[in-house]
Amino acid sequence: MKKRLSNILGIGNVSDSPLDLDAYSYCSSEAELKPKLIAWPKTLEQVRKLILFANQTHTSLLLRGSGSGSVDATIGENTLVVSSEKMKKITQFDVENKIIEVESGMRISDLNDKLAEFKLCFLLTPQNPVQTIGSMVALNMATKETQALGRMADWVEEVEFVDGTGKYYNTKKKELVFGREGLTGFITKVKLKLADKPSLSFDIFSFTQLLDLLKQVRVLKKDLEVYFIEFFDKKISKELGFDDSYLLIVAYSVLKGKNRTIQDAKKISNKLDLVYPSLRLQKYFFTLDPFVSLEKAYDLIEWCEKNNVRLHGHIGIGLFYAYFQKEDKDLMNTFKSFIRRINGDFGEVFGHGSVNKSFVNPVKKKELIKLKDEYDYNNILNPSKFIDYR
Amino acid sequence: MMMSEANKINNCNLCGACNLNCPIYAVLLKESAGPRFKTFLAKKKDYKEVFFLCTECGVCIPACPAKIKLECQKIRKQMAEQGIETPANKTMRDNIKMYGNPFGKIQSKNQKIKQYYT
Repeated sequence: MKKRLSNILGIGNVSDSPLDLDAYSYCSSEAELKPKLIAWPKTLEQVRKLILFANQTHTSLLLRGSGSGSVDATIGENTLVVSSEKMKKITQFDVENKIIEVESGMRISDLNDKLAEFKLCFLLTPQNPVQTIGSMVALNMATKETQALGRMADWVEEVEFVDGTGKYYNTKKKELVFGREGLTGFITKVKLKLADKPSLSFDIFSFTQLLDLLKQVRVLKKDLEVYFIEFFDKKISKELGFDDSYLLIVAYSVLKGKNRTIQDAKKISNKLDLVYPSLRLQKYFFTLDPFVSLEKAYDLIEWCEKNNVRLHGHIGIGLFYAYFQKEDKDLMNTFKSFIRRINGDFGEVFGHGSVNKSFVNPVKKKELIKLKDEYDYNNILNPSKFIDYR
Repeated sequence: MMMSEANKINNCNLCGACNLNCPIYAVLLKESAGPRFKTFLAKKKDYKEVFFLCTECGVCIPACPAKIKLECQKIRKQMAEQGIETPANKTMRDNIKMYGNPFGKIQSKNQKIKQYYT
């Protein structure tokens, strides 16, 4: 198989060396599953031939970006891992119209570094800077900016992908690959809408009572000039140098917040950037991404406080990050049951992968099965991830 | 490795942020070349040849949310003691023994140069 794949991808772009198999046996979870082969396609044609080959030989393909997820979506025993690491070129750049076309393996941080010299940026910024554009599309990712700007699908003009049967598409149809976690196609290129870097102003609110905080969030949600609303529990608030109370940091897309100078904005942005590293330094090892309605946010915050789970999140859209230490594994399971009880979900940031399959909404599942019937009926792409198809 | 370092390495949750600016990863573009894989192996004390794929530039340290410092040099030293090293490393050692410097014999077209033997 390696020889046949080398004919398609070129020597050096397929590996079964024990080192490479070890290197692709993990993601950001604790699980380890060793693949049988790794492939690094570089072009659309190579991806197409690779998928056709997989259909002929009934080989399952596991699609991988930077492998930064924590839901075991990119690891699998005895599978053929297809990595987009070598597909990271900018293929078109229209500075005037603020449109860029990139290959799917482009990492968000690399993209924004390249755009900085043109004073442009891609506005949705995930917590992990190594996230690839392809994975952000596959997850239809929500970020803190989603409050004002929507999700990934709202910032993509066109997607080029190869489906599970080897057919190639260049489409504006969002439902085919957005949020499908790679079950319908391998994304090769993405045309993104860019914007000027926004000048934000900030307000900081502290609350001793949770009900008061939620009341404020409801008011802020109606304000169209609000760019994002970040919530922090009392402990994180204290660590960030604020009072021992619930904290809201609100960004506005206009200069109406009290903190409006460049220095103020920088100071606050730096504080926001510090949250995750400071929790990691305190050995908060695992992060879960609960997604709940604002009505249930009270229950979530209260539960986390009672169980000593650190919580921060984009409260305006109901998306949170709950942080757990290594020894909290049982607590994580209890937490998942609790989220299910309050009709919450997981997967808005990290996806469902193998770990959160039980949280997939039945309507979404039905939709996905229908798409699988059309675009990957041999179940070649990411089998047993997200849903159990056939 | 010292205990404190081992503890730090065990705090790695393999998020991959360290791969971001790694110059070796940037050229080879495969997971086995980046610092995340080295940390994965170092957690298991499974020292393999990939520890030589490191310039010791340290850009992975500020990128890491847990500020883990992967000490490749120390690991390479341990590996060299077990006979695992690159030919360049061996030549370098031989040169130091022979000429007192890692680069080898100092030559000039016109004049004789005194070699500083150890």
